[in-house]
Amino acid sequence: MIYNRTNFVDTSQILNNYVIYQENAASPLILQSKFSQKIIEKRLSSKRSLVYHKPINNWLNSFDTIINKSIEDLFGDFLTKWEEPLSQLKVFLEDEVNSSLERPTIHSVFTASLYMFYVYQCQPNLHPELALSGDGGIYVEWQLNDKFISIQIDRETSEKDRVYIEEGDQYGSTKLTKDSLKGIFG
Amino acid sequence: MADFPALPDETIMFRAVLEKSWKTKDGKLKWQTFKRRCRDKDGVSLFTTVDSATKELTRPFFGMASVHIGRVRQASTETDSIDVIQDAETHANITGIPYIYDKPEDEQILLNDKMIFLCRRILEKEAATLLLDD
Repeated sequence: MIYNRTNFVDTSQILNNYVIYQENAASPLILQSKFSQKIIEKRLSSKRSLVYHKPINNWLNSFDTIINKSIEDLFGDFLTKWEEPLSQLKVFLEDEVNSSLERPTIHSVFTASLYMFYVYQCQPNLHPELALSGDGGIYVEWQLNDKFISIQIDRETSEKDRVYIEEGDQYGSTKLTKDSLKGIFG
Repeated sequence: MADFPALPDETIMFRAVLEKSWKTKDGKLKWQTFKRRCRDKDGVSLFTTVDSATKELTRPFFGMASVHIGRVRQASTETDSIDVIQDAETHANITGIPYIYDKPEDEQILLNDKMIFLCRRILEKEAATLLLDD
């Protein structure tokens, strides 16, 4: 299980790796995992929590709020209906990759799960195809009628995330946001 | 570097599938198989035989695709010429797929879109088939 990896255990590592998720703490993959529980436990047991700077505290607080609700309340059937692609994301973290390629980052895996949830809300029966980018990112792709849609998740910053759309000989991409996905899939 | 004659259209070459997720569960190739990576400065590598590919590749791979050179060329558009150029006895490169890594960010976005389009076009032309699965 990925949650036993040593870099998940140390609080400072967790904060280093996950502070970026203060806005996106609702990542389904986080909530699905026991990892979220580990964070809460760490927080409760840590005397250092008072000296965390404000964004980190906000981020941790967002977990408290979310964990108080059940996963089912938040995500409905998403976790069961899309179990297969979500499991594949986890496999991406665990599986060996060709050494000429880069393993996906935690950031890209969690961001992918979040955007998958947004698409699920619009198209619950349209499972995606997932692929590694080879440089730490992830592609999440769909064929929607005559459109090919590819979400490109960057390895480290959501600023670079794009959504590519191709229909016939026309193609192009725009910045990836929740709203842009709703516009495409809604 | 020795010059090699132009490869005939009917030539079949081989491309290693470097990542498991670059093929579908039912054995079809995804466009990422032809994605030009940072290290692919001269183009996307092809080998003349499966043996030469497996000898050359020391790292594990997840399948081998047979690639029809003439059909790769058919993926060219009015503005972009896709070709296969032999550069060694057992090796050639698919050229014309954009190399984005040394470009400014704005240009990278446009070239990246074009790269996806052309890689998908290669597959649409049925230029490549998964020959050996892992």
